[in-house]
Amino acid sequence: MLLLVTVLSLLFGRYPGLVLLSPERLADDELARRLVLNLRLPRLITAALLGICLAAAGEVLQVIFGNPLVEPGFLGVSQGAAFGAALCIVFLNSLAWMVQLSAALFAFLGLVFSYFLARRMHYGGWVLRLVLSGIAVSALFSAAVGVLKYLADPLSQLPEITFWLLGGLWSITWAQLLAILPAVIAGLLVIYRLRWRLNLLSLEDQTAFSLGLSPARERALLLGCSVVITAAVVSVSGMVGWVGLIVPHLGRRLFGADARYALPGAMLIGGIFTVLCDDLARTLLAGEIPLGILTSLFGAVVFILLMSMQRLGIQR
Amino acid sequence: MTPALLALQEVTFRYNSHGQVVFERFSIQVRSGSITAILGPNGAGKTTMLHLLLGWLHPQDGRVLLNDQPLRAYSRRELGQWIALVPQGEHIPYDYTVLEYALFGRTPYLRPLDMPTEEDRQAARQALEQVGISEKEHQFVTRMSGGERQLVLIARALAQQPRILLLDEPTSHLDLGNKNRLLHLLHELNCQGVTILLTTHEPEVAAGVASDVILMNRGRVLRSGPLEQVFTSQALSEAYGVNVRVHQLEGRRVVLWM
Repeated sequence: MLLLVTVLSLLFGRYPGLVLLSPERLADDELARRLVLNLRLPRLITAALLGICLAAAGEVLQVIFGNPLVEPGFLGVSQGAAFGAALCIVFLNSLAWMVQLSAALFAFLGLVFSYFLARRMHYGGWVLRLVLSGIAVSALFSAAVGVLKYLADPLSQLPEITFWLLGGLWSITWAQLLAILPAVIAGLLVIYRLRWRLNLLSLEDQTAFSLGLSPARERALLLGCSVVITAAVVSVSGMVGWVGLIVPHLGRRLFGADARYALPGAMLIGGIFTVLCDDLARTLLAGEIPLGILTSLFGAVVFILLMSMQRLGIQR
Repeated sequence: MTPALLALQEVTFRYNSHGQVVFERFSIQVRSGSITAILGPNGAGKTTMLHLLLGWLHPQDGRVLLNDQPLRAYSRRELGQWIALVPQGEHIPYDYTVLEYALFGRTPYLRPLDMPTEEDRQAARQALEQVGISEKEHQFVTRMSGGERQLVLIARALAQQPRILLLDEPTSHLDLGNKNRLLHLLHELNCQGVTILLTTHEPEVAAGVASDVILMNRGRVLRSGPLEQVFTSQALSEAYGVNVRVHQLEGRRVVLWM
């Protein structure tokens, strides 16, 4: 299904008109072939990976924290990335790779900062402390992004920051895709193979322990992997919200709570969802619509529907 | 005397370095093949003791022994195959089905990257049958009553096929029928060679099922030994701080208090 959507999306676009390219045309037209292979293909693969990674990271975080309202942006990762990107645009330059590097760096710093803040707190359980420190760190970073926006040159830098914050995949090249690929594949593989044990981490710690797990260690491993894949994809896409929050819900709804099925299900839905959103982003208007706007729009609509139709089962 | 299968030796424990001492030079022994009830009022330290025996909490001083070996000598998986815990209750965040939940008990038999096999499903189904809820295997645990949930937790522990079963206040959410069924089940498991250790604040439960009783209060053992030696009016009165009388009625011990 994901493959089918990707192939169709590959042929779909605004060249020569708003049509599907036929395979014959692809064989004859050199420009069409170059367009598909060098522009659309890396972009589409990145879109699919973006959705897969955000959905997988969202599922991991929601299960580990036993809280269905958690998403990868949580723990200071997204706001950290946003700050890193804005910092680079304002004080250094807007070269794509430097912005991405800075975003990835600060995404990690966001996590590290949240982690150590949580360790310094002396009340509440570990989960509560992480959540609180994640909120605090995110707030700090978003305030700092505000300052940077204020300082930014309103003609050149501000639009760039805004566009990055809205997210999009218009500038993806093969080189960028290949640069994030190793981290993404390694992280996804670990999460996918450990999905049975992921279930057990949603239970209380002493229960997971009595079933032979080392809850703290295994949770740290899965958490680390989800931050790695999130930071990697967000560094090239900018802020793409709501996928990591909504898609795991849909996955559980369609495939059941057991992460053996819910995780691959969510990854599949996430990939299809972002590929379709990205198709719209690049074809709906002659100019590019930021991908983040579309995912947030559809995500929020689905969320409202879910909230009004489904019992979410939040207890802590 | 049968050798101790599980023991705390001279254990001192506090939750954090500034906190109150829960146990000081505290020792107990659980005989292999026994049903031992840890009886005491609320706040006596019963749950803390189970968590020490499980290896979840570590004593600041003293030793926890399983089969004469310190707990640390066992790997996490080995320990999961030896000892299962039925907690007092637990938060269940997502809509797992009863069968999925019981299947979690198979984890100590799986390597980290393994998925449960058909055999594991059979073991989980059998455990559900033992506690009498196999017809509910597709229901969501989150939508069940407190008593039914308790039975699911017990089924998960049985799927673990442990040699030692620790139960923390297993009867607290159960009605009379289910309580009776649980006590029979414990007897049955015990006959199959499972050593059972349960905590309870209800003397009737201890009287109904235990071969050995450890009577404790405020982190101290008041008495321990075979049921008939420990279960006396005097000892119970001392433990609970009220006037308790133990009577024999149709061959069973009945507890009255005033």
